[in-house]
Amino acid sequence: MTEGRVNRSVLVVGNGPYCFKVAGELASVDSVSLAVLREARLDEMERKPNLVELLMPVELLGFSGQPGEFRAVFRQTDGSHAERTYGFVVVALESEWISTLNKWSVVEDSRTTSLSKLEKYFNEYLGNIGPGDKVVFISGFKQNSYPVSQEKIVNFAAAVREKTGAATYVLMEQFKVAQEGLERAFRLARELGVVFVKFSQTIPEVRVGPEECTVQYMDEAMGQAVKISPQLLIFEDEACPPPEGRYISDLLGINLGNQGFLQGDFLFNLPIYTNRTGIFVVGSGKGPISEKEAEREAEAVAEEVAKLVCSFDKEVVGPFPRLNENECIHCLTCYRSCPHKAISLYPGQRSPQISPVACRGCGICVESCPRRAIDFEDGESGISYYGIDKEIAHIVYEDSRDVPRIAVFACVNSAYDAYLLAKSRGDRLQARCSVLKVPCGGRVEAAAVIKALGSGIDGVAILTCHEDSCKSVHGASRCRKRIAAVKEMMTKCGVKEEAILFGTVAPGSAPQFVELINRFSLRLQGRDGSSIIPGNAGSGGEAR
Amino acid sequence: MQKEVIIVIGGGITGLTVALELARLGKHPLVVERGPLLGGRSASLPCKATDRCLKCNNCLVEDTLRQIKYDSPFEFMTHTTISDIRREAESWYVTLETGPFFIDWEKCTDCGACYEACARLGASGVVRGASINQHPFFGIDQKACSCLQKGANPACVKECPEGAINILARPQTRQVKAHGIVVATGYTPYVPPEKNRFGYGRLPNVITTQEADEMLRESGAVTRPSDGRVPQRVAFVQCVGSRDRRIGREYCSRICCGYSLRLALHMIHKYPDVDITIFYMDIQNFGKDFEKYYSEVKDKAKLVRGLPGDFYALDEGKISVSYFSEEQQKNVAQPFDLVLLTIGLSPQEENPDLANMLGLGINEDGFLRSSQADASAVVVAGTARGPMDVAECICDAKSAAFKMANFLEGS
Repeated sequence: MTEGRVNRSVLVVGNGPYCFKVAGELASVDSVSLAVLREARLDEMERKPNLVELLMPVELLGFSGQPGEFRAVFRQTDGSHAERTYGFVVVALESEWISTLNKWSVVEDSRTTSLSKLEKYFNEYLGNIGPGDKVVFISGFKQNSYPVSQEKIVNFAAAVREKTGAATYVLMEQFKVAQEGLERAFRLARELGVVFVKFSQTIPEVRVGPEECTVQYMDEAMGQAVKISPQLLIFEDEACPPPEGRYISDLLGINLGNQGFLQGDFLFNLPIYTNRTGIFVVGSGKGPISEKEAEREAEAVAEEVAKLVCSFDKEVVGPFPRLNENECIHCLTCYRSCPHKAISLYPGQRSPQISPVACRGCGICVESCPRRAIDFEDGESGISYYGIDKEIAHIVYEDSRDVPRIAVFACVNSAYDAYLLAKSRGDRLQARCSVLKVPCGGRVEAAAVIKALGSGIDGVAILTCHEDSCKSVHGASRCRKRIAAVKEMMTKCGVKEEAILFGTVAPGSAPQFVELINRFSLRLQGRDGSSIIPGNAGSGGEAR
Repeated sequence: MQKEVIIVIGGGITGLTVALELARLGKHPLVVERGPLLGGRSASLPCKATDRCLKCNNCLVEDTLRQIKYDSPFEFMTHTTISDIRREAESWYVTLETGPFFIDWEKCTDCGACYEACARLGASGVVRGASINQHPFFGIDQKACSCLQKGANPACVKECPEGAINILARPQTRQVKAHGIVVATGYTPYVPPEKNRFGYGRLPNVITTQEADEMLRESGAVTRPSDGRVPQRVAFVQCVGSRDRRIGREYCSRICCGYSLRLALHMIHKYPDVDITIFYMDIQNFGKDFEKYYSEVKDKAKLVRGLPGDFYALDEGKISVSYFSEEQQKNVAQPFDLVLLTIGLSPQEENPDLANMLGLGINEDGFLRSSQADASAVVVAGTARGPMDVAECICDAKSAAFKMANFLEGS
């Protein structure tokens, strides 16, 4: 990257008060612009006044580029467009708490309300409650409950009990006490006389009409039916993903989790990363968290940005793919397949450009290029179609044939570590293995697998990370599908597909690595009782 | 300009992440670890994947260790304790003691000659890492050294081809002037006391989840200690050493529900016939896929609300567990092949001393707090502050590094 293009400013995208806090933390690092997608209160902002720019409310229309040169296009309320360049982006959207009254078929009135309404109008709701009255809180049942909302419930229940003397009940699925001080808060509320009733088999029945407001349930521990007619009935809210989340994730090219919360469900995204370098997500948009946790994430992202700024001054190290413009036919397969969106199409450029900052060296583009126009600069040809036969020659020409000879493609993030660990432990492999270090399962070429098999060895194993913990997001799943296709093709050609194994191994699981290889070895020898032996590919796959 | 050294106390995932972050910002962290290896407790956690990743977060630890092993971005000292800390004019003067019996990791090539020599004697004085990404991969556990107990010269010392193993008359001391201190001393797993109602220590097939972890990592399966067989019926007992005011632990350890549900799914995946019962008080959310895993466990295992009462020995190493069944509205006793006690996270015993020495606060549960007055010169991070999982420790460590770097810039 040329020095002139590097931009170190940060764009914070948010929808509420939290993003002001995040911008405040970042302001101590570098210049910060804050794009707030709706009107939000400004008091946080006043505390930390060193923002370069505040856009509020604003619509994010377009987004492109790479770390150090992200380009964003905005439309402001007056209809005017603005274009800016940023080094990094922090998404600090907040999730929403939605009332669950409709899920209970209850219409809100003076007797029924949601937790967030109670929080807002606590004194008003309590005005009519006295010692002889009953107040019921309902937590869970129709939605997942979280420590942050239960903290509110326990505090409100204790306050209701203390201030009004009303009989206070909390009907709940689970105590969600996984937060500092909550276990104690529950005890203190119990000591004040708040009654907590837990359910695991049944659900309380709520009836609210013009004449009645009742809650009936079976006390599971006592085995008794109970009926309460409360003067006030409060329902816990449901945590919902930020409504802007889907649009923003599409625009920024970052993955979304399966429940619609921000941050793709990949292990290596934890705690605040996305599939894209230089774009981070923090706060409750990833799922409800406490204020303290959200604050910690804001500090952590400030650290990440500071670190990336430092990395711009250093030379890029490690394997980096290079695109041969003479071979490129502009099919854009690489652009589409890159899990980190590290490949850009710049206006005026002939071929796609690979960003050295955003590239994580997985090699998925190298594998996917139909013209083989992309290669790693430091030459890892031993795992490619061209070099594989030389790489495994030592087992091809192995004299001793008492155990099967297996080429193992092992992902450097998982299976290769497990192999090294097994070796250092002195674990015995029932096979002669040539273990090839690959940057990702997604780098493994079908042609290389077939060529390895065709060179006369007994089997090929491809061992990757588990899906969902693949550092290259879809590397492991691409690999699994590709190997399945190779097997299918082999079966159609009348070749035994048992000579290929696809497996997943964690980096610390040496015993699992050994077990996979040894079981594969038995299978190749036809000693696992299931299949016949492929034997040498040269001898037509006949049983020995 | 003199290097601004930051002492990071503790070489677990938190301490290592703090050091890694500070090093990337161009600062000079020095990690001080009292144990023989880097990586702490999290380095030996086993993978609990089924055919998919269940996000136990252990690969995050491997990834951190890998970066440290190949880049060696900061200085560290293992087998090292802090014997004295003094504060003078904005600086800390720290006295470090290494050894006296230790491996010099700068000379060590991780060849394993020491480990083999020790194993040949049937001893476990030389310990081995659980992850290949741990360097040093070997270390000394002086208390377990059989040679020293016999008054002999340890066999490992002369077996080491690099001369990396030192056995000195007294610990090696080093004085360091530090500009800041990060406390990442972690937690200690709860161990049930000698007399306990679970039969732990008395019944061989009642084990803690920590012991199950070690087994899984070492051999790839959780088996019965009495006969090494794969158990058919397994009970998990949650909240052992957590949420219990009588034993001074009135807090939820946060990570254990996720732990047990993941391990249960892992065991069911590996042995589809295994019959698992989880005794619990409340199931806590864990991770982003909470709903998905939780409903899968509800389908495949039995969840019983309420902790069991008695644990009796039966024939063939089986354990009878009695509990109140809400479904049947009566007490029932059920036999199990293996009982796993899901133990909680306890504060380190040294926390009061450490708090005293560094002017830190201590919360009601016994975990450390950064003091208000001098918050930035000493930062507490990770499970030293309270129970959290690996991803949260990493996040906390990054935030601690940020605070420390800001403090150094400002001073």
